[in-house]
Amino acid sequence: MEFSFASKTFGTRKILGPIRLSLPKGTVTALMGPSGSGKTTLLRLMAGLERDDTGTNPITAKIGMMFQEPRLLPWKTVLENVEVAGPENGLLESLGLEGTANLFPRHLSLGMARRVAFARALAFQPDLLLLDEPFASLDDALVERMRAMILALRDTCDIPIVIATHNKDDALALDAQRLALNGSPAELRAAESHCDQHM
Amino acid sequence: MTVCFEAMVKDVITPVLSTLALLTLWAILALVLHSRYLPAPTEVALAFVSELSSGALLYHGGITFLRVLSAFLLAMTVGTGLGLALGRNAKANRFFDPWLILALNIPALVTIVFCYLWMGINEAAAITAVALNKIPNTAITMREGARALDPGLEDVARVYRLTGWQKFRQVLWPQLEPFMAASVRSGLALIWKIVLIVELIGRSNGVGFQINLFFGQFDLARILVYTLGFMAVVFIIEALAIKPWEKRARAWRGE
Repeated sequence: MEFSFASKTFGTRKILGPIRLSLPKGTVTALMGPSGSGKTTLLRLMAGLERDDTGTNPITAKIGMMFQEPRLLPWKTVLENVEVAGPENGLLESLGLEGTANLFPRHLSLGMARRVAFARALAFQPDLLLLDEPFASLDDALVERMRAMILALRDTCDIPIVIATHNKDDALALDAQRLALNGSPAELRAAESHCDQHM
Repeated sequence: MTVCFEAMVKDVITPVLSTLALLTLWAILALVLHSRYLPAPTEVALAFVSELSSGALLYHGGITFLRVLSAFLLAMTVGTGLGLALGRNAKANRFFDPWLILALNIPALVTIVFCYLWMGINEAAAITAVALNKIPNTAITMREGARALDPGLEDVARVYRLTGWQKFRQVLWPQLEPFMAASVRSGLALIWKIVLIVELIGRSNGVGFQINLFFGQFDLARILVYTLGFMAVVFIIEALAIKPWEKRARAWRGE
């Protein structure tokens, strides 16, 4: 899957320089960089939620996105939240959320709510999965569980997965290709040969 | 059983006792003062039976109800559309905000007089005048509702490609519903009071007309019959429609 964006400016501040990247199927790519480096902005561009400075965003692929916050619809039950994106197909059980289908989000812990958001992204049956800081605020056991789920997904669904993280351990644990956003405006630097950045 | 009994005490017994206490206080005051300015509840009850059996109460009450309903639907439709448009468009809001503040502060009586002068003393002018008085309130309430919409949830709707109707029904409406309920409740309370003024000034039927008629005859009992009668109608609408709607809309909050 190929992406090419011109720069992205908010107000007078240019957040991102021109970026082009290619995401092979069945791989995990980690977007690294400190807070405010433009990771979320790049994910939003990829999800079609933002337009670049030329005003275009030709995204047509089905893209599932797990936001930094769970962003569950509070008036819908867990099951209804998942089914907003597509059929549940046993996802809740596979994510350790048995018995929660009829609960409202206010009854869930943050870790459970994140897993519901993850289930929702999977229910969409996406061509590309974007995960924005998926492990933030989770305890170690849950981080391990989520990492295992992402690896299983990579191996079984054969789709590209992108995670935004500031933690190098996440990238290592997921055997991910690492792309770093640095500078102002941020440039995408990568060790991998299939990704290049244009100024 | 205990929980059921407590709920019955809260929802039924307490309001009934409260109403009976008010009636008793009224009866005692009427008995003590013994004045034509405060008819006793029994006198009002007799006047009620008389107006009901003659058909006048149902006729005038029905006319007023239709005016309230028409003005309410017009005001809610226009006010909601305007409020949502202003809440979603900062430039339009900046431009039209002074208009809204101005409209909000025009006395109801002035709007009524101008509508009658511009459109003639007819039904359309009466309903327009009432609606114009309510539209700014509805617009301001719904504007706040539109401003309070969570953009993060709209992102969810976009990512998961909800259709326009799905987005409205599943994402926007649940956020707007409390504002709509508040607007409906205040709208009903405001509109029926303004309808009475409109009827008093320029209509030959309706509760407002009857109140004016009995004012001329110094018949306070019949004034109370029509006032309490219409208050009862509004109370029934509140109890049977608005409260259950609010309860259902808030169920997910666990309230």
